[in-house]
Amino acid sequence: MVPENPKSDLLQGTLDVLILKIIALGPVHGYAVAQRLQQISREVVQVQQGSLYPALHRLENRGLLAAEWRVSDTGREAKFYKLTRKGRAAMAEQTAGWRRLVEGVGHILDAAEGEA
Amino acid sequence: MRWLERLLRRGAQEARLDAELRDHLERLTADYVAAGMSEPDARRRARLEFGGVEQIKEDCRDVRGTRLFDDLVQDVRYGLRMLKASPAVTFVAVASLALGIGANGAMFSLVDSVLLKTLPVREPERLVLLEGGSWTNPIWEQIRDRQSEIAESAAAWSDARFDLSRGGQTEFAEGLWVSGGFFDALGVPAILGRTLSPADDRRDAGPDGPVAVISYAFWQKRFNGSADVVGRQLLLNRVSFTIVGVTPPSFFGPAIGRSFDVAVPLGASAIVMGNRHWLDARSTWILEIVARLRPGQTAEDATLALNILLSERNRRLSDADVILKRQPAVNSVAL
Repeated sequence: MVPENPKSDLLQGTLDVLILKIIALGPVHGYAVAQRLQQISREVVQVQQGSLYPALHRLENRGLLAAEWRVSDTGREAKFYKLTRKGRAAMAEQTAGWRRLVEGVGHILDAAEGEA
Repeated sequence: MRWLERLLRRGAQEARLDAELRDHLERLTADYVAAGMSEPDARRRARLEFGGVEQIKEDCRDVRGTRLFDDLVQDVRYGLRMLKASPAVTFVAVASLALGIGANGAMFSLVDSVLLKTLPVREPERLVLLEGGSWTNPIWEQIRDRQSEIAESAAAWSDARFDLSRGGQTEFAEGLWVSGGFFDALGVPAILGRTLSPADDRRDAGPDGPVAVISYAFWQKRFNGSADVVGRQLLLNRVSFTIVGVTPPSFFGPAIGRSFDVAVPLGASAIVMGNRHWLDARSTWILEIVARLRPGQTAEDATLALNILLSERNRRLSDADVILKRQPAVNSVAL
């Protein structure tokens, strides 16, 4: 296996903040995270399981998420994630960073032609 | 007995990881059943969509117990600070970095021995299967175009179901979409006529128009083993295909427990399925990919070559982990 490209973590950072936000809305299991990302973004953001679960585990490992096994609506035990205090702080920080980036990109895209 | 404790804890962690992913799969299946699919179809669809469970598990394990990521975060933070002053540069950087994700860590493994026994192919010990579930056609095309860098040859296939009828009541045949080099890579000859070639596998059909290869059993059943079957027409989903060959009676296809009737080139899906074809779909993971190693080459060698190729590809194409839908223009940069 080729070593993971360190640069790719920038986009994972984007996925991380989306996941943190969804989980901030209330404790959920992995499937619900994927569903809600899709629903709330009005079907624009779709995350693949192959990225979702490693991201959840990474966030848990870093102490941004805490996990708990509970009996869910299906009657089976499911792993529910919730935000830790550290996770909440990270979410706020990353949200602000993302908004700055969006704003900056917006300025560029809105620039009137001929202005430069 | 700390090692024992560690081992036990690891076992428990594995079981939980397994339970977590299974939970997801079952919920996905239930949603498809609720949407009106039959249980087996829903299960199959969910599995296809879910992709390679083993690969996901591997990635989750990688994430645990490694501090590497935290070090990287530090680097990335530093990079972000440096870039913050100039948003234009940041955007370009983010857009290009986003492309680095995707089929990272694709791996060849020796084809399962059970499968091997069912494949009457040439030197089966040199065949390796690409792990991680199914793959998209755009990924396959990248591999196909540079297969000589990876192994002696490579091939892809997917199950299909074709309607043989002219209209009215449907009459299903078990089909296979196969790459042009499929039969050659496996080493399956034709007992009548010829098998397929890369020239047949084009979106606008090859020099002989849409062509099909049929199994021995189908030849017997549908054409009574007629000697002049080569050149006859076969209607698949109301599209006329020319039969070019028949495979040996011992060859049932690449899947266990399932035998095929008719195999057609992947490129023909553009004709059969019209604009619903998946040849350019970056989110339709339906192809199995197999490679034939060069004599003396190991699966690890091929894996390394494949990953080099795919990481180059990822710098140019999308397939990143967050996919933007309904915005094809943006999709190609995946951000």
